[in-house]
Order: sequence, then C-alpha cells, then structure tokens
Amino acid sequence: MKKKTVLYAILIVLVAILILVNICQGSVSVSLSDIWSILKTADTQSTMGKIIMQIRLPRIVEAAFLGGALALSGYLLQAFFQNPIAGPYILGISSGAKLLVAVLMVLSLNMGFVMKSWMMIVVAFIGSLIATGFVLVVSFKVRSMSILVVCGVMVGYICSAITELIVAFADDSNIVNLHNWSQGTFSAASWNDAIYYIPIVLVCLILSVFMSKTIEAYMFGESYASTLGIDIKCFRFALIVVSSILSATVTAFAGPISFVGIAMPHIARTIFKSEKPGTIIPAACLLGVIFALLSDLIARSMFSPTELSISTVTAIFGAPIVISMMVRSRRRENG
Amino acid sequence: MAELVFENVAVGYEKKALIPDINFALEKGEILALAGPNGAGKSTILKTAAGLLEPVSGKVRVQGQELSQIPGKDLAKVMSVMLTERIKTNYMTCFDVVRVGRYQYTDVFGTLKDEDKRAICDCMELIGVWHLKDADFSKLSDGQKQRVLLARAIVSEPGILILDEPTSFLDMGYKVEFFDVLKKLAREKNVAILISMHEMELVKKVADRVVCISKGNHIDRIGDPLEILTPEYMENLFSMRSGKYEEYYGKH
Repeated sequence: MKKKTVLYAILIVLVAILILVNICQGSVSVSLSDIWSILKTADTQSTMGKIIMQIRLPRIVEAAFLGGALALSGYLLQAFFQNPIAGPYILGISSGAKLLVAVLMVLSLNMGFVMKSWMMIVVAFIGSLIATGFVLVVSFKVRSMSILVVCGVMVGYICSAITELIVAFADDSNIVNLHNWSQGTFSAASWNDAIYYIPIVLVCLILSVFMSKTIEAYMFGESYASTLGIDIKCFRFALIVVSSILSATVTAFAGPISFVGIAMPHIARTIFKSEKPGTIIPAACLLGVIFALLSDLIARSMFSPTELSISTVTAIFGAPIVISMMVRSRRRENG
Repeated sequence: MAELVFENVAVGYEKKALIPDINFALEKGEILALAGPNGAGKSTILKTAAGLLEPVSGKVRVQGQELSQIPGKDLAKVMSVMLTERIKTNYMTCFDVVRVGRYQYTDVFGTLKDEDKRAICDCMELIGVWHLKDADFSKLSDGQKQRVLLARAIVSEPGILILDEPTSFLDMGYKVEFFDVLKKLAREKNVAILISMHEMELVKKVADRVVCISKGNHIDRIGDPLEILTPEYMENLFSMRSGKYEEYYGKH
C-alpha cells in the first residue's frame, strides 16, 4: 500500500519537473523567477508572457493530456485483446484516423471551408473505427496475436501511403503543415483545441475507471467473465469505443504518435508489480504524460531550431521496450 | 424444488445436437457426477448448465426459472463455475484471484466490505490456501492453482456449483481433501454440485448419483454409483477389454 503511494508521488513530482523544464527550455530561455512574475501579474502582453501563455503552456497541456490519453487508449486495447502487445499505433488504428483527417484537411483546403476541431475529431473517430473494425475481423479469424500485430502494421503502412499520396496532391502552401501533422507533433497546440480534448479525455478516463472492476474480471477470460454475470458484448463494445475515441482525439490534434499506447501500460505494470486496473489506469496515464512531455522536450530542443516529429523520439525509446516485451512473452509461452 | 433441472435437453455446438435427451434434476445438497470417456461431451453438458452454451433443444431450469430468462448478474449470485480453462496472470496474488469471485457483491470499484473480506478468508481457509494469499498466482503449481480457483468459485457462496474436472492436477492427498471440502459444502451448506470427473473409483466415493455418458454421445445410465459402476459396466463404458478393469483396479 505504502509503496504504491511513494511510486505515485514520484510520478507526480516527475510530471511537475517536466512541466517546469518545458516552460523554461526553448529558443528563448525563461527563468523560474520570470515564470513567477508572469503568473502573478497574469501578463499576456509582453513577449515573454506571450511565449509562455500562448506557445509553451498550451503545448505542455496538449502533450500532457494527449500523452495520457494514448497510454489509456493502449491499456484499454490490451484489456480488449487480453494481450500486452496492443496499442492504437501498432494496430493501425491511429493511421486509419490519420488518413481520414488528411482527406478532410485536403477537402477543406480545396473547397474552401474552414475545418473545425470537432470535425477533425469526428472524422478521426470514424477512421479509427474503420481500422479497428478491420483489425477485429482479422482477430476473429486468426487467434494469433503476432499475426494481428503484423496486420495492424500493414494497415498502418497502407493508410500512411495513401495519406502521403493525398499530401503530395495538396495545395503547395499548406503542405508543410499537413506534412508536419501527419508525422505527429504538438507544435500546433492552441487553447482553442484544449476546450475540445480536455473534456473528452477526462470523460474517457472516468469511464475507464468505472470499467476497471470489469476489466479485472475479464482478464480471467470470456467464459469466466460471463459466468460472473458480465455482459461480454456490451463490455467489449464499450472498451473499443472509449479506446477509439481516445486515439482519435490524439490523432486529430497531434497526428499519429507511436509507442506511447503500447509501452506505458507495460511499464506501469512492471514498476507497480500489479495488474489491478484501479492501480494501473492512473499509473499508465501519468507515465503517458511524463513520456509525452519528455519526448516533446527532446523533439523541440535537441536539434533546435529544427523540430523533430514526436514519433521519431517516442519510437527510439518505445520500440526497444516493445521488442523486449515480445521476447519475454515468447519465452513465457514456450515454458 | 430441484436446483438445476435438465428437461429433454439436447446439448451441442452451433445448433447441432451432440448429446440428445438429457434428463436429470440436481437437488440441494446433492453431488451429481458426470462420468464417461474423453470426448463423450461432459464439458458440453456443464457449459450448457452454466449458461455458456445455449441448449439445442429442451429446457434448463435453475431454481424453477428457465436459464435463458435469468439475467447474468442474478445467475452469478446463485451459480458458480470452475472451468478447465487456464487463467493467465502476471502480478495477481491468490487473494486477488479469489477476490474477483465476489464480483457481484462489491460496488462499482470492487471495494471489499468486511463481509467480503470474511468470505474470502473463510473460503481460502476451508480450501487450505490462506497461506498462499500473497503468493503470485502465476508462479503456483497447477495443483495449487486448482485449489485457489475452487476458492474463487465458492467465495460467492453459491447455491449451485459447477466443476469441470477440478482435480485433474491434484495429487492423491489433495484430491481426497478436495472432495472432503465438496462433501462438506453439500452436507453443511446444502450446495448442489454438478461435477465432471473421470476417476471412477472417486466417483463411487464422492457422488450421490452419477450420470454415465457413453462414447456414442448418449446418456447411458443415471443412478447410484455403487450400483451402476460395476467393473463390467465400466469396461463397457470405457471400451476396455473384458477383465482389464479388475486387473488394474482390483475387485470391488
């Protein structure tokens, strides 16, 4: 019990430190005393005030919320497939969302209507569901998780290829934006988007917490869960919908981001040495926040002023974790 | 009123009847064993009784009500099931595994009330696995796992207990202990127990009645195991050569 509290405290302290570093670090460096005076006077007029209030803070808030959302989305998918090697990116779900959002972007550019945030979320959600539907069809046909992952990666490739094609035909002046977004980035963050994603992520988090008891019972397998009186169809439907809403929201605002969803729940389970959904859901979310903030910090400051795409950074850290997971689960299967 | 009744039930998969004309009534405090060779369809009958499979035809009644009409959460309070499926866990303790059995009694967050804790403690002590409460479930031997899973099944204090080959991994000592617990549950707590097993000598010791299912997928006989299960009959049921049973298991 005590150990759990200490671990949560460490994670929260890490979040706080990363928020401060993210505010201070950048092409214009800001000192802690500057932050204090700006917050105290609510200064949004000076250059420093604008940098913090209009650029850095919205970006931090977006990275934090969407990082947490990705980790949660991955956790729910893992519960659904009863397998730790699942996540919105690796199963091609993010790419499905990306494809439809890219189509919407290009249409809005060519037809001259202004794309609203909610439109992006709706379209991304539809894209996620289509990709998820495909993955589900495959998962009912073949029971092997590795084949499922390969299928997901292939779906991802197809969707990305079509997206690139669309981007290639898009209006010149807007290609840069579209291209950046399709690689995954928090650089376009603004407070206007925050009013959409904050409530969505919070509602999904609350729903997940309310599902945690059933998620635990479902870990025993469908038959056992069903004899405990759980409506399996209803529960699986809820898992997929909440997970898709989360990954769609992330993709709509920040593009597809790799490996956060698959790796963070795993790290949470490993350091908390627990599988209790009530423990792992908040832990995975906090780790998602930390990982997103850290990756974003690296993405924008490592080769400043050039920014890396966020997935470049998350992949470098995340891919080795996933590989080690695969090796370990293989070893367990074999004895 | 019988706890569990099969009325002209045919069981099977995808609407194809595997075993037709199943009729029996399981009474309170009774241990009814399903016996028969591998592949005869014992598990299919148990899954149908547990509501995991729809009967192809006929009616299954639980405490007078038709099984398909009972909402899942109400059924979970009267009936508990232990399957042969393996449970894959990583960091779950045995206490956690048993705790999940209280699913229908805890609130939405699964918080344990005093009575839940007491029930978990009591049944783990009854089965003799309380000392394993903090042990990692995935690291236990198969036999220990089976005992923890029995504790999980009875922690909800069910009126009907359905067990599919629950002792397949237990050594002789634990088998005897296991069946003592079942007898205690039946005699003292009036639990109705439907159990599939293939050790016929144990069926004779444990079961009040036995339902014999033959290789041809039909119900062959129902009745007192001591009367039915003669060496000749068992040789027939398991398609053994005449005299083989006594050669291996001795005269009874």
